[in-house]
Amino acid sequence: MPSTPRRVEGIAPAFAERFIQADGFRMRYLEAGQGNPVVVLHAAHGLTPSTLNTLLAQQFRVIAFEIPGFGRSPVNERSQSMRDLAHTLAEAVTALGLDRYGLVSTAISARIALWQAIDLQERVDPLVLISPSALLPDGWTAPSGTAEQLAKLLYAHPEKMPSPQPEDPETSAKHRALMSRIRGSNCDPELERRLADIKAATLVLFGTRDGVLPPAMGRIYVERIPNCYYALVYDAGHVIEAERPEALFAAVRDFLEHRETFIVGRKNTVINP
Amino acid sequence: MKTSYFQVGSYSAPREIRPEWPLPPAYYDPECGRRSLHQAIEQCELADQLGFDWVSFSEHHYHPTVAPNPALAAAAVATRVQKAKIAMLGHNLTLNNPIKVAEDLAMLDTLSDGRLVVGFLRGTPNEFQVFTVNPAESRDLTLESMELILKAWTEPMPFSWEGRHYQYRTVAVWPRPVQQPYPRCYVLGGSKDTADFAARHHLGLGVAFQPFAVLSQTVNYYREKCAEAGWQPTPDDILYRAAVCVAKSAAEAQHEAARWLHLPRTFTMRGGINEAVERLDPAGLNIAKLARAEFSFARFVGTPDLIVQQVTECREKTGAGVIDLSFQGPGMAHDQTMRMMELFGQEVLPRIRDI
Repeated sequence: MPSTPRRVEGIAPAFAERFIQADGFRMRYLEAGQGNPVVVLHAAHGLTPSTLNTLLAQQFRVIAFEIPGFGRSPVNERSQSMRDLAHTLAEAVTALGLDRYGLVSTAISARIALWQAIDLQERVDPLVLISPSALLPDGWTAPSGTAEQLAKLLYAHPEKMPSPQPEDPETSAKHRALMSRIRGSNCDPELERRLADIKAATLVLFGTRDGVLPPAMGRIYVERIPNCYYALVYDAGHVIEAERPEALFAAVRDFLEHRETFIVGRKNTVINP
Repeated sequence: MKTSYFQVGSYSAPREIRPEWPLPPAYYDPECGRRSLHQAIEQCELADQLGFDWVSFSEHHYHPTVAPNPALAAAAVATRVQKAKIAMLGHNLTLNNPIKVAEDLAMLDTLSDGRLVVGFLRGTPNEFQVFTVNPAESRDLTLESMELILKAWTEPMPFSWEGRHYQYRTVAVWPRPVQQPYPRCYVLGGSKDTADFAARHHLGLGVAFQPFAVLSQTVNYYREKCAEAGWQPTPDDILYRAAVCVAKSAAEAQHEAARWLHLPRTFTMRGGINEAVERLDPAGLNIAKLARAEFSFARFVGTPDLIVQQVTECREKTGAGVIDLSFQGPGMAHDQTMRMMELFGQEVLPRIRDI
């Protein structure tokens, strides 16, 4: 059973910090909102305050997990692959009693989300992949460099972004060790073969000015996942949430609510009835 | 130097028209409009016969032209003109649905067997009011529209677009341009953001009516940005639009050039409206001020010898490799326009081709 919630300083007030035992890990997660459950998996920077999660919590029950080995969690030396982590998260979701849920992942957590959608076909629906790094171009390397160089890769308008906070060296080392073990190669043939088995309606979003991954990668997901849609967020880089949070929210919310019928126009255009 | 015949869609008015915008439809004579449009097509055919490289079109509304939908005129001309490229310079992007523009232009490229040239235009402040567009948003609208059009032409899979000003959940354009990935495109305008966009997307830059010295500054900025983006524009990437008045004598040419002094007034709105637009977009084109300053659109004026010198100067000072020339000054009759085109075609065109 989940532990008693408590408020967390510095995070949107509605979110409560909770812990749950799953697959041998004591997993931290943040929860807020009511409605259909939406499980959120974070990007490489870990579980941090999120505009998207805050906005989604106005309409959905949002459960944002911290991947074991990230952030405040202990060093994770057990998980050997993204699929292992997908299994761990599936156990956590089961422990929370979630039968069916929407799943939203950002960047590096895409392979975890895809394996969940493959392994829990009847439970994950829909699936949203934001700037996913599950399918990678030949020769692709993870972004690296100085803070300034990274900002140019991550943002369409780095000049508008606040200066990055220096990361705790111990946490960074923990993330690097875990990621270098579980990331795997650029191509995961088994995952790519199994994409055709995904039943969930899937939305893939890229910023039009993504400097980490070519936005055109989006079309490969559309080709391989049976019910997949590809959205471009104009004038956003890799970190779409930082540069176009409202646009990202609108697309993700509409897809979580309407799945493939999110393409149907519902805007009322009456000016003065 | 490549030369384009700019068919502005002039309306040959049977009587003097009050120079203001919008022009009341009561002034419009349907027979005159019909004749003007057919004469415009004749002028394009003559341009093709004389050896002009392109014939070009642009969009105007509520104004003494027959040009609210230039793609229709371009389609008619594309089937009658055999050699010249069809240059849409262009759709007014603040007023048009970008997906529709992408579709129209792809259709024109298909109809013209891959002879289309494209210009992306923000438009003039008065025309923003045709669809009640906020002048303060016009730049951002244009930038987003251009990006969406390029994406619509090149993306092979259906996609949704989550823009600032446009949201389309299904984009899958048919037909696609004959010229792959898309026709030669110019961003039209002299501002930094348009030059930045052109440089970033490896597109040409088109500037209208500015003095050569100002054009030269704009082109230098564009070249710097292109170098930052890792490429170098050629003369064909730099387009200059101006009016031409060529005649056997310099005095006659100067007399014709005077017609162009009145053109800004035909775009001028009433005082309070001009001021309201300027407050919303202070960096925008101020047509009322141009009208008061008697700004001239005619940059190439004189005898054929003089025009050759001026075109040479334009090339040397600005690096422009394409000039888009308007011949029909306000109120000029069709016959006179055709005579001026013939003089240019016979005595200027052969001498500027190798500049």
